[in-house]
Amino acid sequence: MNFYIHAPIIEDCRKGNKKAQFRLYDQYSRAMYNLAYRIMNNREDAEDILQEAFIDCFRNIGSFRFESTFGAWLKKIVVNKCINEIKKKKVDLMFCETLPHLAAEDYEEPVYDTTEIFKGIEKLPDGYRIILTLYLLEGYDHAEISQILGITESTSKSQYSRAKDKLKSILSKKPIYGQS
Amino acid sequence: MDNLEEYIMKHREEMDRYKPSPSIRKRIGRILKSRKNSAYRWISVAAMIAVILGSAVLFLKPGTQLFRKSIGGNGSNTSHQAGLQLKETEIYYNSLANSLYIEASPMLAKNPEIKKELTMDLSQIDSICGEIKKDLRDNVANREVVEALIQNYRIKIKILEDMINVLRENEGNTEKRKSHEL
Repeated sequence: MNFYIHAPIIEDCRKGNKKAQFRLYDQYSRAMYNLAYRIMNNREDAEDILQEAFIDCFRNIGSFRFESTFGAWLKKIVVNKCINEIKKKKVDLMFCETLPHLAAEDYEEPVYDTTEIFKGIEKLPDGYRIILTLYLLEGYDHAEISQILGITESTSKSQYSRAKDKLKSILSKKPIYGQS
Repeated sequence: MDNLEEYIMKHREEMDRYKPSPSIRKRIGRILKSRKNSAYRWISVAAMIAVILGSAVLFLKPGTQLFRKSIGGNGSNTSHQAGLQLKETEIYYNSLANSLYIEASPMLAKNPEIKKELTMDLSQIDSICGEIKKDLRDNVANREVVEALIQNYRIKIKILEDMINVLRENEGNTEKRKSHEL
């Protein structure tokens, strides 16, 4: 992976160059906004997080040491801001163990459609939605998710599996678990 | 990996459906600009703290002329050679500060608020330098006092240089904005 792909722009950002800052913003804002939206499930909160994350990013860009890609570094800022906001709001992520795993015969696999999946993810309970987002859409592994959320790796794995089952059940034409 | 995971991975980009409002970009620009304007204020506050702490050391450190004076002691003899060297150093820093101030003048004229703050800061540094120089009349060879004086000159230069950078950047941004407006 080329960690240095944005090195000249990042160097310009370190010097406070506005044009360079907005080039990075234009390149990453959409992905970061959608990430924040999927975690917060609220567009206003996602906008606030996006703004704060980029301000922090430009303020602390001197501490970016090219040990990861710039995108991964920025994503970490966004995720941490979201998690802090969720903690501030005292949202109970409820990592529940009550749902049984979905058996193949319980599930009628639909023809998948991104709009339906998108809406399905929005309907997931907070804890499920966040783990599914971090693992499946953002590419974090369970060890990283366990650190981010302060849970064990095995909880992350089991919750991801249940989140996926729940999403399947929402998407399925055959209702399971009582869809809400 | 099951079919759902595979489908999502394949259509990952379509999952980023929303675009952030353009107002966020503007808001970030405004916040960054206001922080830059206040940058000069912080530079000058930090520099003043450095000057005050540096000067306080002279009063508190036993062995320095100012310390002896503050406890009522006597000064020592002056050195002609050291006096000449100090004079040269003073001329060097003063001419450097003057040329930086001349360079900044056109930009300062457009920023009267910054000019006012800068004038106040520089005159405070000058008054501290004046105090230190009074002490040097008693003992021009005192290395710590000379170093403190030079340090204050350097801080003055640093304030001017940083302020020129901030003003230049602000001017650059204003020019860009004007050209976009056209």
